[in-house]
Amino acid sequence: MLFTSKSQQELAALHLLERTSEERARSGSGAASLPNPKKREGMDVAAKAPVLSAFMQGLINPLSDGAASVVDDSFSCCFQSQPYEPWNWNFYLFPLWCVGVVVRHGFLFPIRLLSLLLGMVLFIVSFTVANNAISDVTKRKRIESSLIVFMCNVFVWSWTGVVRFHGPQPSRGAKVFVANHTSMIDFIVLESLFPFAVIMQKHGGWVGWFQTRILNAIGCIYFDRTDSSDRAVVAKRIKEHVHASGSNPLLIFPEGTCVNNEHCVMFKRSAFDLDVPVCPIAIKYNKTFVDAFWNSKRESFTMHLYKLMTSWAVVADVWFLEPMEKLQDESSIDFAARVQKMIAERANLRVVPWDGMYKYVAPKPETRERRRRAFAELMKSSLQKEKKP
Amino acid sequence: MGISQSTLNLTQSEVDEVHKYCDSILTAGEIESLYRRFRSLDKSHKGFLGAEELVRIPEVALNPLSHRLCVILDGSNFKEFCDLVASFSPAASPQRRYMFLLQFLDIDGDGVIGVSDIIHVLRQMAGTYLDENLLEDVANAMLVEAASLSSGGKQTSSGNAAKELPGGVPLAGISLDILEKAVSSAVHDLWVEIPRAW
Repeated sequence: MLFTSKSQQELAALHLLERTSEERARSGSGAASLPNPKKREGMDVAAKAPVLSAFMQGLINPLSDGAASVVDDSFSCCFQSQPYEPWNWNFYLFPLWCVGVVVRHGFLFPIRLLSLLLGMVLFIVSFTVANNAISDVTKRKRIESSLIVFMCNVFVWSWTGVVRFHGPQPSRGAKVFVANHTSMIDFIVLESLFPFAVIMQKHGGWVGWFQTRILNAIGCIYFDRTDSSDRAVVAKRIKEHVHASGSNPLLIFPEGTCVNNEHCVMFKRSAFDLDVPVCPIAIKYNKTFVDAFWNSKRESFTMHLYKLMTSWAVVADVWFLEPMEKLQDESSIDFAARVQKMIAERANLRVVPWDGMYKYVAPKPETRERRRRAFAELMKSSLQKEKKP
Repeated sequence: MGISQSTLNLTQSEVDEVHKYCDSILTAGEIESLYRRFRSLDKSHKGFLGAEELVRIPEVALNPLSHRLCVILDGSNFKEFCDLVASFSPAASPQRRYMFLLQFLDIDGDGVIGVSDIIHVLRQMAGTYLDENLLEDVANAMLVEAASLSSGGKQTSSGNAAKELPGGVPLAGISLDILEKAVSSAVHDLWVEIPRAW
């Protein structure tokens, strides 16, 4: 989802900076235990040259932090695919691996593609017929919904999806479901069980065609990241959808972007602002056969599907967790964080405080300004010290 | 599930070359993991880093010194990247760290940290929170103190050199040996944990 909260972002970034300096302090104690004969001399310098040493002191921590984030940062790691671990390195594994490649690409893939295309043709024909022939709206919606569920099952089959659902199955009673986001196939996997209405980014190509022609039937809501005026419109449509009777339950991916299924970025609060119970869904993919993370900057969705369709299987666990309600004196940001923690614990993800939108836009500079103010204070006080030694 | 993507890894001779280039500070495991990082930072696979790619990392963007850091890293290839990181390795000598600090602070590249260099860094470090005229005061005070530090070494008998300060003559710039004295023990805080590939 798109809606950002300034204070939430600031909090997140502050939290992170405090964490890094904490970690540095902790590991720094190791470095401090090294023999440090210059320590006393340093105190002399601070007395003799207060401004100079204050300047150096104030400089060294941000400089080290900066270098540390160039070497490794907790944001980029959220969007890194699993590195390949080759296992075909000896004389009897290598032929086996070759057989596997031939079976997967030469045998499984054509069969899967064929049945996917067949299923698609069947689906499109019956969907068009249902769309035009049935005049009773509720009946038509019901049939269209079940056709979409069928189509998603065909998709799941095309990668031999082995999906284990845990917990109570979703029903029409609940209105808002939230899940962690790894790939667009999250949507397909969940839709193969139940016709959720999804809030999703508007795509181009054949995915866009599906969105505009088919998915409108189950009340999906689209947004465009590049269009900021879109936010208010989408927020209004979400509210309308939730309060309309007979609408499909809404499925929201509050991270707003695909994460590698090892980390969990900040949950946007919009889903938690609706004054209805929120049902968390945790999705965990097994990476033994294929990494289900869709790195949308590196590969198209078609290539992603090809990768999935040429693997042995896509194995996933889906947990439907207990519905959560906002507490009396809880802000929607805290509520979002609470649900995020629940999902992250269940799916064994590491929570990072970053906003996934930083993939697309630069962060707000509040924390930097705070550090700058602190440094300015340090310099001013050291100047004072020098003026009256 | 694939054949090892050997083209993406460094050869032993390349590792050795980088190892030598950074004064044997980084281990092969560190170089390997830094190479992974370098490739992920160099998104368009040009072979060198671009400042605009670094600023995309939120943690870098929020750092007060991000601008200078990006200027230094802009256009550097893998060897130069490792050379910079090596200065932050716990294995780097204090000498090397002083050298790095001097390079970092010496914006105009004349070998010493002069008034303009200090003001430039102060602007980045303090943003708008220090007044323009105060910037000059701070820079001058630092250079006066630097002068006392450099002479203070010789006048070992007078322990209260600070008292003579207000009339002191400022240095034209802070050179490496004065920087060493000014930073002294704080240099131990200038380090970064470098991940190892194995």
